[in-house]
Amino acid sequence: MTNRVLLGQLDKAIRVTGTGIPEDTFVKRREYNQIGVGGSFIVTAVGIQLTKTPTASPSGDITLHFPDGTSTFVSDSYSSSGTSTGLSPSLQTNTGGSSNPVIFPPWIYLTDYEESDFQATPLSSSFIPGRQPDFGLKVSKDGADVTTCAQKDLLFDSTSVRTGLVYAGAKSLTLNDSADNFLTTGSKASLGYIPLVIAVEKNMGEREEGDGSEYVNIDEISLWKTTTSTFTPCTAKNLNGASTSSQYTGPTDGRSYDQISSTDENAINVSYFVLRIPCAYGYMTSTYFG
Amino acid sequence: MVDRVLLGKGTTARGGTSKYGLWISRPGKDVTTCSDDELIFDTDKGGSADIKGMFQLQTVTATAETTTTTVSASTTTNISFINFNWSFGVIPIMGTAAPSTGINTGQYQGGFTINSFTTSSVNITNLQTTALTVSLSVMPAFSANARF
Repeated sequence: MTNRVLLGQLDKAIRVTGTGIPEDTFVKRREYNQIGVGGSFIVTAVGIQLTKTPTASPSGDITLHFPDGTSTFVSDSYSSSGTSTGLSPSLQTNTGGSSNPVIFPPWIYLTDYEESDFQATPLSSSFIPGRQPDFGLKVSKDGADVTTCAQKDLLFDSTSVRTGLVYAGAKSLTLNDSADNFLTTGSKASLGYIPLVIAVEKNMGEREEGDGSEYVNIDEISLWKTTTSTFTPCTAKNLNGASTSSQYTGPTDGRSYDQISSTDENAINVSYFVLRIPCAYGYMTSTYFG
Repeated sequence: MVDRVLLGKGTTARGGTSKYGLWISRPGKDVTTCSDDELIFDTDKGGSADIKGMFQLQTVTATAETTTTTVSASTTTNISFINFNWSFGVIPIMGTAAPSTGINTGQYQGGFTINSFTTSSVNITNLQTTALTVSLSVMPAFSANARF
């Protein structure tokens, strides 16, 4: 059986505790200090950047808690950037004489974290999300382990900014050429934006008709116009002689293609879902998705 | 860090403390105080204007005249599926394939009508003179009413 539901901390991360360390502080970055011995490198210390700035200069034991819930590393020999923020003081570690990238505050340099500690409790990059870890809820599909699966294998992911919450809808309506007001039932308030609407109807896909002198080919007959309150079947228009885009009038309400019969074009047996997802120019911004 | 997951007793913004359920806000929004539109999972308040469910398509294994979802030219047929028995029925979501080569790359190809559907099949007619491959998913209908 696989893990299907993850509730709480979503990222694997290394928690840091100690006097002066705020609650829910994690390792944001790490750089090992290594020296060359007999043609290979061994760890002699590690520098860690924290997700939160200490409220006071760390003192006493500093403990790293690993994601397995049991492993820890306790340090009593370290230096730190104290309560500093910004770019100073920085920390420089090295691998064999070569400089590693500089770590900026807040950092702790654990000088008693050595090769044997690295072998027992490595600060694996998979445990370092590079930020404060996310909390929330994930649910995976049948057969997929929620702790390791790809996002495509999730049924629900709280890191998403929008999901398919169904605000309104209809089943098996015969609208023909008319609009439907999806706010009427239940006296729903306007969402304040033009929503994404998923629809299906009797007439779907291409239509090709001709009378010998005129020939019409419609790539998708099921064309709709959505406003903040209505869902309307419409007819695509070509430029029809317009020489500039401003002369183009756009789709018209109702279905009225020449050569195509009402039976073959009208909105019949329409079912749709109105989702709480903005889908229109001017609404797909951080105001609605941030 | 803001509260993102509320499981159990509701708050004023979630319909009051007499309501119990699960609510999840989108990143950066406090689930206890944010607006309904800032939720990504919502246990509704029981009002007629509340959300009706989640749009989560169920991909079904379908069979037509043969063992695929290819419908022969100018043919009306039932595409059958199994394991769905929602009492309000289903709503099929269907589409056609788009070619990946040639001048019509990326365009929908083929026309069809959805004539009727039940909890176990969709009756469709292929209007084209060539075989049509359709994709099919289904959604549960959320209400016995025409609108919800």
